Amino acid sequence: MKLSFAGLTPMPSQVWGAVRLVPLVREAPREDLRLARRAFPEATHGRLHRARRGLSELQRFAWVPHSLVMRSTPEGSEVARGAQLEAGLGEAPRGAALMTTPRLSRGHQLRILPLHLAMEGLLLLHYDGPEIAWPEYSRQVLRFGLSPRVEWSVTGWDLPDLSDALGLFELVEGQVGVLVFVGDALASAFVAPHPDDYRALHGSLIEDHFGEMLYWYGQHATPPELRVQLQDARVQDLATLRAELERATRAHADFQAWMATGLVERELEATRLRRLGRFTLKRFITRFQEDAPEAEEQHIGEVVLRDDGRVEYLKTYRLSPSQVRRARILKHLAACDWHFVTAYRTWRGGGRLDTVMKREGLGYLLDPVKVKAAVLAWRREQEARAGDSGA
Amino acid sequence: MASAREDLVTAEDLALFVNACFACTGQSEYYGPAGAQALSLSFLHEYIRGNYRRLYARTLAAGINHHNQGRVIAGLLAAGAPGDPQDRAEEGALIAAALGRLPPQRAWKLLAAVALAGVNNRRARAVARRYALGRRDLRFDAIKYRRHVRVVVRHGHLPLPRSVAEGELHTLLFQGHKARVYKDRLLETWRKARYSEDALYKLPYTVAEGFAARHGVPRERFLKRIQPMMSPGERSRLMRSMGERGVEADVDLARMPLTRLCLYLLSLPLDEREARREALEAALRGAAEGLLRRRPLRLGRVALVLDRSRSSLGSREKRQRPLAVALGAWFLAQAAAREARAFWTTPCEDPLLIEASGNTSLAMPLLDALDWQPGLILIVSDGYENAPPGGADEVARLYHAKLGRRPPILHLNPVFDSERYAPRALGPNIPAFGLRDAEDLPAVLQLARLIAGELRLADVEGWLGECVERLLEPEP
Repeated sequence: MKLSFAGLTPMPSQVWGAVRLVPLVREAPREDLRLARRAFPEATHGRLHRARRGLSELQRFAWVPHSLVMRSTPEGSEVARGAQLEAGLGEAPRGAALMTTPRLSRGHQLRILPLHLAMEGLLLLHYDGPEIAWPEYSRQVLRFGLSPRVEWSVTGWDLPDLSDALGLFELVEGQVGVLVFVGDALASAFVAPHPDDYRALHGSLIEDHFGEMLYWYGQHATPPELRVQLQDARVQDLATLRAELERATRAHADFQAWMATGLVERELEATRLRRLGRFTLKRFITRFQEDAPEAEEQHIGEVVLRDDGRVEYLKTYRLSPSQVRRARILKHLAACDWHFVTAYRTWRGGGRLDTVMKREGLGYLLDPVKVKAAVLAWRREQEARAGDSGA
Repeated sequence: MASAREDLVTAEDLALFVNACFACTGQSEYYGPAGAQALSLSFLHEYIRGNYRRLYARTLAAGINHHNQGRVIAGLLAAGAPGDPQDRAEEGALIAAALGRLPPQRAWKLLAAVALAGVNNRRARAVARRYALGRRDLRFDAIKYRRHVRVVVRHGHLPLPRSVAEGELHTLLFQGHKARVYKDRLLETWRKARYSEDALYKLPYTVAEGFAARHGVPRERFLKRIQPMMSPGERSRLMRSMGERGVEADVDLARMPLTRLCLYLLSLPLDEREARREALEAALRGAAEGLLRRRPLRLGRVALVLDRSRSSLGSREKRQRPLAVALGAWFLAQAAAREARAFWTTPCEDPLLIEASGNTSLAMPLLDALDWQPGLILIVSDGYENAPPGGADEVARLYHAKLGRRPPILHLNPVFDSERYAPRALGPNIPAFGLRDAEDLPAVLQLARLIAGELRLADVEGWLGECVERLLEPEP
């Protein structure tokens, strides 16, 4: 699957400090899918349940500042808005009501936690651990899978200049989305179904989380404002001047959209999570290049697509290089059916697989003694084979 | 003999300074905090004072805003009188004239600041003394600005006239409520107000407000009873607050200054603006015409490109000011020009119902304005153009390069950019001028004519000289 921004037009960016915000405008917003924000006044952390392999109940906790409620209607009719929508929501969910999977609250209404699906997609990557009890893995992994798996990220408040940039940003007429660049690296993309929804949710971007390397990017970079330039040769009179201005403005905006090619038009690995009438909720992760996934930018995200493939809702998170490396290791292990020696043998990511795993914080998966033995045994076998062929 | 190059630098520095002094007040802006603004402005003042002392003093006459006049006076007093007798005389006369025209609260505050800074030269004392003795009713000042007056009197050992307030001013300033009784009626009322609510309604509003808080008087009652004691400025400032509390504000909209009126209009909700449309429109037109009677301005066919983007909301300290200046300029242009047309960044059918929203796209409205073929184009914007950045400047460059030098395009900016020591310009091809109040438009246009073309020191000095003559000529 590929993500396309058909129907969304980028507009000239607004730069503040290290942050560049590129507004996205929807040409013809429809009224049949709406998004609203629910803030949770007190239920600040919810318990997430997930049953797994004989373990009756594994408890997980999530801190949830707000959630999004999505509501659709049969084709043609409009969704109730504002106060009506709020009234229809009933009591704010608390405690166990927050589920790991998107919850269909009532009829055509869906409640999701922003970026939660995407993050979960990353954390649940091969979450169950080895299918076969290979001896090189620690006892904990064989029993409980990868749990607990931890990834760190920083909040919007920690990113330099982001809060000012969002506050000072001048919303564009018809704007439904924004591309957030920090130090001119794409940090996140956010698209809402309707301009009013975006207006209401613009400020909530600060409560999202971001890959930790963006913090460092933001410390030093000051992206240029990119002033537009008109070409003298194309201007003869007022009409051509107008045409030239329009061309230059378009080119200016398109260039910034081009800066997001790390996300748009990339091959994605998407999982369908739910259908909501004509809409499909998916989560995705950009497809890793075999040899060097860290060389490219990698994003995870969640998206709601209309049946014609148009993006109605999108929220992405940029993985930091260490997160990419961890994901790569897990994918590699899974690809080798978790057979450690095979994985060790075919590892092309530089260094020894067990050392790399330790460095990247996945050392807890392994049983060091057994790993050492297995690696030694494999070496001896290699040497013996080399000796045979040499003799 | 200074070289032509030196002259040019002087003229440029001076133009920069006067420009900054039209726009900046050291308050925060949409894109800049107050600290940076004040710091940047202080530097400018020190730089100009250190290098061009005589011209610096003369800017007092150039119509710069009150905040900067205050800074200039304070700076000159702190620096001591110049050696040359002629310069000394002129500077003294300028300080006295400018100080006399400042609103009294500013003048007293500035004199107190000079005192607190430890400046106590002979001239500073003389200026304070002359100001104090020249006040119409020193009793009133002593009550209304008691803290400042006390500082000034104590610091400069000012002789207080025995003839005023039965010689009790000294007691009022330095003993205050410790005195048992005052023979003077106003001073006695002030003393009583500390103990009786009825007495406080005979005091000026700002003084009474403190006593009202002391007595815990409900705001409604206080506003209703104190209204006769308010000045027209205070009444118009509190018009909304009184309206919300059901107190009928006795304000003559027609007498409010133009920018203040625009600010009031913008503070009203849309339905109220709609309901009072006729009264508001008449007042705005009246204010513009009244202003033109005092400061004549004739314009031909003029197009205004006006910024109503979100940043024209201003800051907490300067709420909606950029938008109010744009609106004021529009009404002023309508009254002054043979033909005028407004081109807003986001199209606006009805200027009376305007609100700040949207991004700043100046290039397209500028093109529309050029299409209309006016004799002059004025852009009123805070200079943060973002859709696309630099578009207006490019349009101006190409138009002037390919399609003719006319019409001239001027940028009037209500916002000072602390990092550039100047109102933020849209680009090198559109000259920018500071404009804090729409009322200053005639003065700024005059300045613009002077420095938009080829900048010559002789012209700038000549203009300043004229301003000085006008300021120093005796009032009729």
